[in-house]
Amino acid sequence: MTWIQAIGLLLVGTAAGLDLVSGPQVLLARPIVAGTLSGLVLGDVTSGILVGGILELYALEVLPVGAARYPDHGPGTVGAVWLTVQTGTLAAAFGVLLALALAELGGYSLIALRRLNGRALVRAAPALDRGEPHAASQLQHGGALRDVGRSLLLTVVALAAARAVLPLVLQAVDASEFLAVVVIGAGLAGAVAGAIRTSGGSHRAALLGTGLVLGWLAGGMAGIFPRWGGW
Amino acid sequence: MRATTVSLLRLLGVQSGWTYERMGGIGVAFAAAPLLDEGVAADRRAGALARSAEFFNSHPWLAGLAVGAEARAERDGVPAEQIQRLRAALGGPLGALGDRVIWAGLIPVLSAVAVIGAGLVGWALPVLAVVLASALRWEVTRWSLRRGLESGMRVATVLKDCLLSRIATAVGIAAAAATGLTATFVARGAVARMAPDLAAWPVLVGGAVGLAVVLKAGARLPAHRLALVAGGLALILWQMVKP
Repeated sequence: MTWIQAIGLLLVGTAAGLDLVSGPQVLLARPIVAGTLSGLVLGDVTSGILVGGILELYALEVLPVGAARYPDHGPGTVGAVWLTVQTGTLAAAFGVLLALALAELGGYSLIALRRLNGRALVRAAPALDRGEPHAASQLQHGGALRDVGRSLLLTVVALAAARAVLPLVLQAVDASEFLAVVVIGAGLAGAVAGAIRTSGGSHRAALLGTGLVLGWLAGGMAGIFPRWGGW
Repeated sequence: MRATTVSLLRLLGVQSGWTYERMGGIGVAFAAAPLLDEGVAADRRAGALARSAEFFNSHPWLAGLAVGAEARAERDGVPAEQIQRLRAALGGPLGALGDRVIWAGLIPVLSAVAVIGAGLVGWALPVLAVVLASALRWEVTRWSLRRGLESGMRVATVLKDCLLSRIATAVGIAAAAATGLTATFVARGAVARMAPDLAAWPVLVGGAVGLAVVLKAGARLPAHRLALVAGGLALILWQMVKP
C-alpha cells in the first residue's frame, strides 16, 4: 500500500464514520459506498463492491434512530476491503467478519462520543442557559471534531487489525467456502429481517417476497459474468 | 451570506453535538442562531437562544421545520411557554415521519440503486446514489426550513398535508421490494464470486435459519452478531476437522 493509498483509505473511513451521525447522512456511511471508494483507492473495485455489497445487507437491518446503539459499518469496511485485496475475493468472508466485529466496536465508540459531548455540555450549560451566542457553536464544532477523531481512529484500528490477521487468514483460507455461506446467509437474514420489521402490511410483505425472487433470478444472471462487481 | 442560507448549511450537520441530555437541542440552537439574530427584539434574543438549546429530538433531515417555526414564533413575539410547547409537540411527529419516509423508505431504495447498480454496471452507481441522496437531503432540508419559517406556530398543518406524508406508504412499499431484490441479488452474486464450486441453495437455507433466529431473538441478536458467533464456531469446527 502506497502512502497515497493509505491517506485515501483514511479519508474514506473518516468520511464514512462522520456521515453516520454528525454529517449530512447522504450514504457515505453505507458499506456499499465506503467499500466501492476503498476499492477505487486500492485499484481493485471488484473487491470493494463485493465486500461493500455483502456488508450492505447487514446495514439494511439497522435504523439509525436517536439514542439507540447501532453498529458503525463504514470504517470497518475500509479494513475489510484492504484485507480482501490481499487475499483475493475467494477469502472475502474473512474481511466481512472483521468489518462486522469493527462495526460492533464502532457502536460502542458512538456511546463514548455521546458521553464526551455530554461532559462538554455540562461545562457549557450555564452559558447556554444565559443565551450566550457562542456556547452552542462551540459545542457543535467540538462534537464534530471529536467525531472526526473517533472515525479516524476506528479506520486506523480497522487497517491495523486487517494487517494483523492477514497471516492467520492466509493459513485458514481453506475455510473460506464454509465462512462464505455463513456471512452471506446471515447478511440475507439481516436484510430481510429489517424489511419485515419495518414493513408490516400485506402489500409490502408481498412485494418483499417478489423482490426476493426477482433478486435471486437477477443475481443468478449476473453471476454468469466472470467479473461480478462491474469490472 | 443570508441568515437563512447559514442556517440551512448548519442544519446539514445538526447532530454534531448530540448528547443524551439534550439530544439534538444543541444542533437546533446552532442552526437557529442566525435566524434569531435577525428580526428578534434585542431584549428577547438571549432568552430565545437559551430556549432553542433545550432538549429536542426529531429526524435530522426534518429538523429545519422546528428551527424555522421556532425562529418565526420568536420573531412574532409568541409567549415563551407556547414556543416550548410547540417544540415539545413537534419532536415526535417529525421523528416518526422521517424514520418512516427516509430511514425506512428512501435510504433502502437508494441503497438498492447503489448495490444492484454496482453489481451490474460498476462503481459509478454507488457514486450516483450519493449524489442523489445529497440532492434529496439538500432539498428536504431547504423545504423544511422554508415551510417552518412561513408557518411559525401553524407548522402542524404543514406536516399533515405535505408531500412526504403523502408518499410515505408508496416509498415504504418500494423500499420493501428494493430490499428483497438487493438481498437475494447480492447473496447469489456473492456466492458466485466467493464459492464458485458451491451451489447457491445452502446460502438460502442458511439465510432462512438465520432469519428465524434473528426474528426470534430481536434486538439482542442482530444479524451482524449472529454472523460473528456462527463464523467463530465455523472456524473452530474447521480447525477440528481439517486434515
